[in-house]
Amino acid sequence: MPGTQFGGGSDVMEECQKTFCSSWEGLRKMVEGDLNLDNGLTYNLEDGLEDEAVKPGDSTVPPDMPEPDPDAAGRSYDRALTVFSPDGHLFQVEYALEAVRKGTCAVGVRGNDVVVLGVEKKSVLQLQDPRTVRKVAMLDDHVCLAFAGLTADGRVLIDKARIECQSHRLTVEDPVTVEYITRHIAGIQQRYTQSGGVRPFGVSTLIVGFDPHDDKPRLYQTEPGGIYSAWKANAIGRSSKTVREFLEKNHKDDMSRDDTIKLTVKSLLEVVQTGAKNIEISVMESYGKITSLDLAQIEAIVAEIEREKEAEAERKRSRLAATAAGQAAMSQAAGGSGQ
Amino acid sequence: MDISFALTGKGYVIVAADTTAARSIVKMKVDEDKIKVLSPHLLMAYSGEPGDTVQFAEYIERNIRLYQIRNTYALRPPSAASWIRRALADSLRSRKPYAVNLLVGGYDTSSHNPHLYWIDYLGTMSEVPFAAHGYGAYFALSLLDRYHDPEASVEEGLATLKRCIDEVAKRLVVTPEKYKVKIVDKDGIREVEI
Repeated sequence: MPGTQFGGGSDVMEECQKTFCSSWEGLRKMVEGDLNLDNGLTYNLEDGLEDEAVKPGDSTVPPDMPEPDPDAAGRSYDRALTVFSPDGHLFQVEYALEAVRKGTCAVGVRGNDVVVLGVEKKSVLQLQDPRTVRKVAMLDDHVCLAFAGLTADGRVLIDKARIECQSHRLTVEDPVTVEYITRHIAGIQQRYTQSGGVRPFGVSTLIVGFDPHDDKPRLYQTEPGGIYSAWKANAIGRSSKTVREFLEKNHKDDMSRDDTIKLTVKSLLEVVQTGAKNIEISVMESYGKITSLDLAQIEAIVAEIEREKEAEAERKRSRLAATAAGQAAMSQAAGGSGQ
Repeated sequence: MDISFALTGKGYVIVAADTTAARSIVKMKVDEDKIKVLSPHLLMAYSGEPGDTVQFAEYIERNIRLYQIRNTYALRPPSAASWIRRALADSLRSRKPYAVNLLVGGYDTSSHNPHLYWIDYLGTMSEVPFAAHGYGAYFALSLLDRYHDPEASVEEGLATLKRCIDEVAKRLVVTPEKYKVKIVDKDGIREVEI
């Protein structure tokens, strides 16, 4: 019953009064919330609120998958999936986070006027088409998303986000801001921790992009519980802790495009042993300008990083040798004077 | 009162629509763009019930874009036109149908062919070499029968379009003063002055 708010329409009130309010029993039933009228309709307080939150555009874009029904809790559905443990944990959400930790690593780094997404790419099987395995998705002209965790859950979330992007354009004639779409995705994820008969999304996401009429790069993260936050640089998925610590040590403000890309690759190399062929890099330079680096470009960057590491090691070795030689000379001199 | 023309040529489609927004006998504005760019190689001129037109065109625009984002590639003109026709036909069978007439022109980047579809508010669709909606159709179709050439260059195509516009200016009681003209070909979409 779209748009029907309890106590809102006068018809509804009259109907209720006719049916119930004459008796105490009826009033009691109304107060208790879920109210089954004889005509088979169910009036629920939450429904009206839910309907107001839905924008007109939503109904015009084809629906994809049924939303979790807020009514479900009222109708003795199975709601035992996400309940608190006695010490205040939601185990299903924590298990979802565990699924994220098992997923491949994704890194996002914000530079001065650029934002870079890097993901660890699983090696595809010999006969598999690598183009069909993607972890970075475009949500709109100016927003990209990478996720870690269950790929199938990620796909569902991406589809919902893409619909919202177009729906937002249809209703307010403006593209979404990165924060808006992040909040929307986090909102969906949160909903799936509080409704009956559903399980949380087993994905964390990194969302990057530029707001319309703005040149500041943005980077956000969402988690299965529905938490979202903004970052300068962050990692999700397998060994994300190692990568984040690496980023904390090496991230600088106002990095150039090349430095940002290099830092992204460098941080990924901390956990990706197989090198360039298992790394995928997407660079967003300004509103709507997204490029994906090809293998040769990534290999060049990896080679450059290797060279730098080699040079650093060489410097260290020669410095060590110099100190060792100095010490040897000193001890010899000391020994000579002792005699 | 809206008038729109479209014609195909060698590797292109020209779509033109007048730019007047009128209400009753009053012109409200003369720079209204009634041709939507749906994808890099797809144009749609719309006319009909004011309000319905823009609402329907924006709905189509967003859904075509959604398809492109989901699938990396945009719908090809025949598929897009079929989907648009279906949306209109579904709407016709709803409680409040959209009263919108359309000309969908596009360039198929895979088969390298221009396509033009004439669609009316009843959900009738036909692929045509040239088309017109509104009062302009009464004057332009015979001209196009005589002068249309599927092998014509863009310049010749624009000259034929000019003939149609001039004929309408000459014979129609109330005639729009300005037209917006857009061309779609292998390089994408561009607007031309006429």
